[in-house]
Amino acid sequence: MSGLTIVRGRRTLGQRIVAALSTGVVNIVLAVVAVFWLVPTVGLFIASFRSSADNSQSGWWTVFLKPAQLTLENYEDLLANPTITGSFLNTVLIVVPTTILVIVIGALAAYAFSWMHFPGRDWMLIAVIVLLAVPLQVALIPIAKLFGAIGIFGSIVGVILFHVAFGLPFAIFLLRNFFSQLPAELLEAARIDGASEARIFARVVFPLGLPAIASLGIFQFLWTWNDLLVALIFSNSTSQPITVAIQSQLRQFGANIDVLSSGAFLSMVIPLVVFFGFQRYFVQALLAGSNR
Amino acid sequence: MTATLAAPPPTARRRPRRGGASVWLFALPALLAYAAFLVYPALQSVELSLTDWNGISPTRHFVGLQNYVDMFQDDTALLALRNNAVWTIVTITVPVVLGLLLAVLLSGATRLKPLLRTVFYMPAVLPLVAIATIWGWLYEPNEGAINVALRDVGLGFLAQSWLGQSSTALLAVMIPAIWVRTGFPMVLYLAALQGIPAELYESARTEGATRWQQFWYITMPSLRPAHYIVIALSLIDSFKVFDLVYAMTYGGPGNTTQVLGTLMYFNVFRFYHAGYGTAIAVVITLIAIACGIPYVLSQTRAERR
Repeated sequence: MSGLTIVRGRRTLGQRIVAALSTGVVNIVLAVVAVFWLVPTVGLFIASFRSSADNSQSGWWTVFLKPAQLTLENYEDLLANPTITGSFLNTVLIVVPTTILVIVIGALAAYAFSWMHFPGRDWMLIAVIVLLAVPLQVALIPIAKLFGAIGIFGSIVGVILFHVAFGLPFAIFLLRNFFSQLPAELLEAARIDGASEARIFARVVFPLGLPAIASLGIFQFLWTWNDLLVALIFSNSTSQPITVAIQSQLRQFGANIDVLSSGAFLSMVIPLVVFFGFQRYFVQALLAGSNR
Repeated sequence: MTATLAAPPPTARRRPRRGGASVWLFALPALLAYAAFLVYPALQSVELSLTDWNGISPTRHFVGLQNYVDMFQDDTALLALRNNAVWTIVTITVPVVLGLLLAVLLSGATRLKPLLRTVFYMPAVLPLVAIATIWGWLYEPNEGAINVALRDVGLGFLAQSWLGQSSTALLAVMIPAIWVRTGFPMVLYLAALQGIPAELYESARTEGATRWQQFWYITMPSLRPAHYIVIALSLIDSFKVFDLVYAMTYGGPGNTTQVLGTLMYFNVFRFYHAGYGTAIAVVITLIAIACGIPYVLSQTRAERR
């Protein structure tokens, strides 16, 4: 056995050169692919800082030769456009309450499903998981009718309610996976001390579940921010979020990238900030889901 | 119930407490939202799909399964179904394989790797409308970067109207989908790779296993739970395709890039065929549930254990 261990790792010079070369080739290929992966986004970003005349005459890459062509013109126009600024505000007004409601309602239900016992619990849990597969298309028309009847069709409230309902299956699924792996001793100790369920939830489960809650929050935030279909149907011209506003410009202006690029980039800024700010939580969320 | 309380079995302390009224306070908000926004609408959709409702009129007539029969005689619907199938296969296979490859190559923490991981995951967080803008612009026939680049390197004869002709439109919409969806399997596989004990690889190397053998006999089997999650979630997600097609081609040219999601939308909200559109929505739902069943079964089996 010890003989084998010594043999391991001892390679001839030739083998080491081959290994180094193949690693080098792999790295170069990776780097080239990564550049291609990045080019569309970077191109859009640069185009958003060029005038319409420049954009129609030359490619955005000429900026590296003539940096003087960069201008804030498109963003000035954009911020002077009340449709865009209003829709940006609408997006915030939709996304923030949606994310908070999904977390609170989802966490309460996930606690009940993981640490409380009640009749029919297992069947309800199966129903929750099945509903993960239900596409929201199936609910659009009846809910549109319902919202019309109670007078919230076209309002921000309607958009929020719909997002919350369709965010819950994933929220409960993800949080229940995480909560059910918390150490039973901690909860038992709290119960023996006479803590109420509400207190155990607020003082033990919620703080310990924060990593999963953080990642759920990020996912829900991004989904709601990026949604087009729900907003297209349930919002109107005064309550539309930025994705709908950009979509209607896309149909109106087609290839006029100077009009579109700044708006598109505005819609991307917040998701990018969230992504770069909370990168490590993405992995944690998925780990929590893949532990079984 | 009382007997259990009076004489708890030895395992009782480990089991979750039997909740009283407070259970309902915890679960009720979620259950109410489920009933109002998922269960009730789904049932009503089934009802509407059996009518000739136009979406506005207060009256509707029961037509039985006519809408479903019509669907199988409607060339556009059949094309949309076919496009959904092509879309699902391509936008799962390519991103999953590419994501796995990237994960294997990019696991570890050398200086460049975290940066590259970020680059590959980043498109996944962008709004699909922004992605449609980016790619619509790249594909633009005259000023778009793809045709400009082709002309610059002397391949101008390859330049074409990528989104405007039926032969390339669907492919041209799937490429951005692949660009967006590769990051998710990569991140999930990266997380799963961290869970494989390093000793496994060490002893394999000791026995003289090549890197290829290590991949097939250690990495792949260890990633099985991850494969399951990646494929199930991608499958469920793929069938709901709407945003990219809607924003990039509006189902055109002609109807050649129509998928079930856009066809449903146009029928209900543009053509006043709400009954027919709802029938399409029901079909999407049934297929998505069917795709999700193996996953649900595995999950519930895990519950029972």
